[in-house]
Amino acid sequence: MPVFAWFLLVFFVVPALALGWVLRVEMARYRRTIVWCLAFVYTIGAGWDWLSVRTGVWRYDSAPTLGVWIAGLPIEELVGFYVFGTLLIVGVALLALGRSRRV
Amino acid sequence: MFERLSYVGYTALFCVPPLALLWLRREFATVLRARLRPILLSTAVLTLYGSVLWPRALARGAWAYGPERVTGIELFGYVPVDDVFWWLLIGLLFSSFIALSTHYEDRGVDIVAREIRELWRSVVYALRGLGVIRLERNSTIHVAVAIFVLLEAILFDVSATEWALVALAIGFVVAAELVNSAVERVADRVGTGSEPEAAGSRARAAAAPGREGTSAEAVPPAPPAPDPVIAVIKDAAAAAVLVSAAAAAAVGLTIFLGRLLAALS
Repeated sequence: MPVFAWFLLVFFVVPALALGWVLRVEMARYRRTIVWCLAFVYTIGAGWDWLSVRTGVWRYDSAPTLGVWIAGLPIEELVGFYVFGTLLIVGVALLALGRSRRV
Repeated sequence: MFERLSYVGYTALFCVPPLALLWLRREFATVLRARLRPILLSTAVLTLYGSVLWPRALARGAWAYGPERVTGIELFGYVPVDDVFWWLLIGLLFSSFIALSTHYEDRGVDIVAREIRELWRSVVYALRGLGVIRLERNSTIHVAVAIFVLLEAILFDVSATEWALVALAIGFVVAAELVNSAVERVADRVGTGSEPEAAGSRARAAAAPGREGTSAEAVPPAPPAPDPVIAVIKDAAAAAVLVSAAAAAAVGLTIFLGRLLAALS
């Protein structure tokens, strides 16, 4: 069983989609912020991830994966964590900021 | 690199510089300070969420850490302190950026695009400023010497450290030249700001017939005496170039003299 993919699905994809639905107006309004967050994750974040794998800080082959690897990173990390992890963080931040914007 | 502090070290390397970019600028810090509470709240929620989840994922083997690359310290015997640090900095970084970016987006400004645009513009201005080197005799001499030194460095196959020293020395001299050129122009502008009018009125007075003499008796106006303060400023700027050139010469001699003598013998 692809443990990491399941973990991401339950704890990142589902909460991120739920938050995205709740905050759909804010998500649409701040799409440039979201695009920049994703851009940073896919450039600086991916470089950091790649470096960590190369230098043995962490590895993703400790359990079965979906089997698709790009530059030493599994597809679930590159899509599941990068996209939905970022969206979850953006959702939490927007939720926290929402109150201050209304004040 | 970093051994057991690798995870923590990479986290600091990748998060602290962007955090400094966000929080050091007064314009940004003002916006962020006004939203400090939601930023801290969001950071705390994300850190708590990640700190509770990560050990569960680790226990199921979703991913694994290199034991020699992490501190091995666990909070409450449950969550690796490295993970808490990761979530703390990632949470703070993203929350800060989102707070800042949404503030500007509310005002119709894409802050990242604006920053990139302005950065690019400043690079263009700086590149244009490099052209000043071609306007002065001394700076062209320094550039010619720099080319000679670079060719020598290639010829003698100098070490990486020596390359670094050569690059620093050349950069130091060229930068001093550029600053000197800028100071000279400002000094000339400030120094002559009131002079042309004074010189012009003296010339007009000398040329005016019938009062203090005739036009035939008029003598060309003497060049205005240089302002002593401006003179000191220009001399000091020129001295800075001289000092930098002397230091660069010392570096060059240290690196190349022995090799040159050996080649000659």
